Amino acid sequence: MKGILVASMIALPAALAAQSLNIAVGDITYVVPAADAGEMVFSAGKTLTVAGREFNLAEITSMGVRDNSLDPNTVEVTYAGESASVAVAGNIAGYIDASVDGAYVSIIQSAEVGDDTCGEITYVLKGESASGGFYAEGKYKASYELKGLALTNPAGAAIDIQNGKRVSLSVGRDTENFLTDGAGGSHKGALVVKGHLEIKGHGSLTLKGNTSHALYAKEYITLKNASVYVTGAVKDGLNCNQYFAMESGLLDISGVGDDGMQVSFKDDADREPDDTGSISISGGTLRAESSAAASKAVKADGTFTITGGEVSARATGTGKWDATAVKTKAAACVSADGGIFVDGGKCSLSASGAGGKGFNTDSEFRMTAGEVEISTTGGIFAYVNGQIYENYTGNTDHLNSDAKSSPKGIKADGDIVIDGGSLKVTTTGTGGEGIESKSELTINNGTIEVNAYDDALNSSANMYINGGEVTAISTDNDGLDSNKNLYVNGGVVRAFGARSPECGIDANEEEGYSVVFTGGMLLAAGGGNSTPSTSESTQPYLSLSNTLKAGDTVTVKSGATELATFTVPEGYSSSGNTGGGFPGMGGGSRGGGLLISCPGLVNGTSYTVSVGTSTTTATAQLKGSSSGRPW
Amino acid sequence: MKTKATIIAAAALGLLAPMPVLGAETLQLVFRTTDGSERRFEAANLEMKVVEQTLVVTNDTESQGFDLLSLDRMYFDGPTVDVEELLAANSDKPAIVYTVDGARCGDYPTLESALGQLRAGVYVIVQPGKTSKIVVR
Repeated sequence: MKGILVASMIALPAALAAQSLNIAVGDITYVVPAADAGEMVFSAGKTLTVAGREFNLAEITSMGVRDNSLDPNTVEVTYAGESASVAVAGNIAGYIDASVDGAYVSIIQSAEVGDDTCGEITYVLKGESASGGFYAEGKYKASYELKGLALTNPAGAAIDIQNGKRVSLSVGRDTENFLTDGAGGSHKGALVVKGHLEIKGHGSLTLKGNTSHALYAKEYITLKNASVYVTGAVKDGLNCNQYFAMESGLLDISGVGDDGMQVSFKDDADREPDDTGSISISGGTLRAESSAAASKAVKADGTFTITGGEVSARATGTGKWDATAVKTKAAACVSADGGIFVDGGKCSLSASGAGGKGFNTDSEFRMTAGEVEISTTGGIFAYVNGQIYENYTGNTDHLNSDAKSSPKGIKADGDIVIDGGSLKVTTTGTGGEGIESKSELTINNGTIEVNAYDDALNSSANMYINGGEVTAISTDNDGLDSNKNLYVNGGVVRAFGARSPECGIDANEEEGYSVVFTGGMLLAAGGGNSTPSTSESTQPYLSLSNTLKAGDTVTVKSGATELATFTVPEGYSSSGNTGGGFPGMGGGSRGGGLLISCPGLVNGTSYTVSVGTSTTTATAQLKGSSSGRPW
Repeated sequence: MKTKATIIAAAALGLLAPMPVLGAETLQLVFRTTDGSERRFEAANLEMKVVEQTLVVTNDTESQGFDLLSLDRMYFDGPTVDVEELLAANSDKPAIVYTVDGARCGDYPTLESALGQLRAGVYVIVQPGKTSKIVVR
């Protein structure tokens, strides 16, 4: 049997591994395990080389053997009031240049650090200082661990990591960590990272930015498990480029002077695949608030996607007039230029400022699953004849669209497509629309409940209801308002508009468009309703004059056979918008225009319609003799 | 019966100390002067301090000053340990084996597999994050 003698640098029994040679140069101590020390060579009485690092003997402040150890590849920084100390593991002594001035620590990681040398280095930071900072440079990925660190730098960033590679930041389990920067500087955050930042761990990190942002990364940020609190920032709470991805944990942002969080493209001209400018939430909880004029609680140059977790965003800022762009701008809970995609999770959005919106995108909005609840309470923000109005109540028809910004639950310049999930929108301020697409709006499935001041659902192009359950109530305008055709092909739709001339359902008949019924169950009530004017419409409808109130049951029967039953939602107020209606439309309350379409109706056949306790008869028809509206 | 091995100090990657004296009972720090002589100190609580051109070495029982110009090198020499425990944490990691002359003997998927194939001799083993020297008999 072979005999084996082993000399090892690592994997030593505890009795030996615990003894280390400690070489201190000022506040920096190099901890070299006895087993790793090897031959330590003196040269000309001037220097001592240990573990690849040459020490000037005259600069060594202490040297001895201690019963201590430091994990390989580790640098440990400890703050204590006005001072700080640094411990460097012996195996990386040759790759670390550290300096300490009071409680300000600077560490330059050698460019030689890499896979072929020592590999990734971990920096452990702990302790407290109200007048200290941490600065690091490096050209190879690095890990940072916060293990109970409270650091305030009155002169700059609390932590500034100038490393363009992947920077892992682990928040130690069950530890609380606080980073605060100084005011009036030129730095970009209390925590600044040049590269991409991956935050993880099971502790908490609280940030406050007194000059600019609280958390800034030049490249992407990911968050997993850790709880990150931003308690204040002069600008954004979190600001990064490329993308932000949250898998779990908590991000809570409040007290910011600009956007809650903003993700931008890193390079508009030469964009890398990672440079999506997007925000994606797959788990955890994101809470963000913003209060500045036209600020966004959550803002992305690219897309916003949620597939899991919870997002709670609150925007309380009013609108503002941008004299350079010559247009009004408004606040939003979530703004994403590249599109908004809800594929799971839960969103609770609240906007209270003039023109404030829930979701706002220059592109498309798509929802397939999850829960969304949005409320806006602000009125119209307008800039008219050099004057700013934060609750404009005048006629907006004559205003250029850039001169006003209306509150909306969801506003998309592109298509809106809803394939599933639960969506509830409430707008109470003047001019507040529920869901608006500047293109097409399509609902294929899901539960949509909108109670809006202005149009509940509005599309600039065609609107399609192909499935799902849609409840659309407007107190001052139309339930469903399409500026082209309005198709009801399936689903269950309850649409309630205001008094005449507003409608339960409204297609752009003035320009030759029409409502089209090919399926589904529809109850529409308002001052009037658009009726089909095209043979595309294949499912007949009934038109009546009735006044509804919340809780009423509306039933359509053919003899004893019940074809459809609707319940008027509790959110519907029969008084609606009072005032004079058009002649014959029951002015003084919501109009009595009632339209019902459901499967089983036969053109020219009469049916019994019960509304509450009253019963009447109506005859089904395929097309209106003229516009269903009385004007 | 467990095989016994001796821990010796290893310097930075590739720099290995001389084989130790077998059977040292406690960790010692050995100072070698330029004339080749060696002086051993118990490492426990050992302190070193440069006073002008002298390195003063002190532990719990003795103290000695070395003229810095006379010092060539120092290294730790440790107690014997159990080789099976020593290798337990590393035997399944890949290993590159060299002779002490620097000739590459081969790449092995695990240290264990390397040890099973090496002939008697002294080898340097390079594994992720560490380097070891072994004597196969």
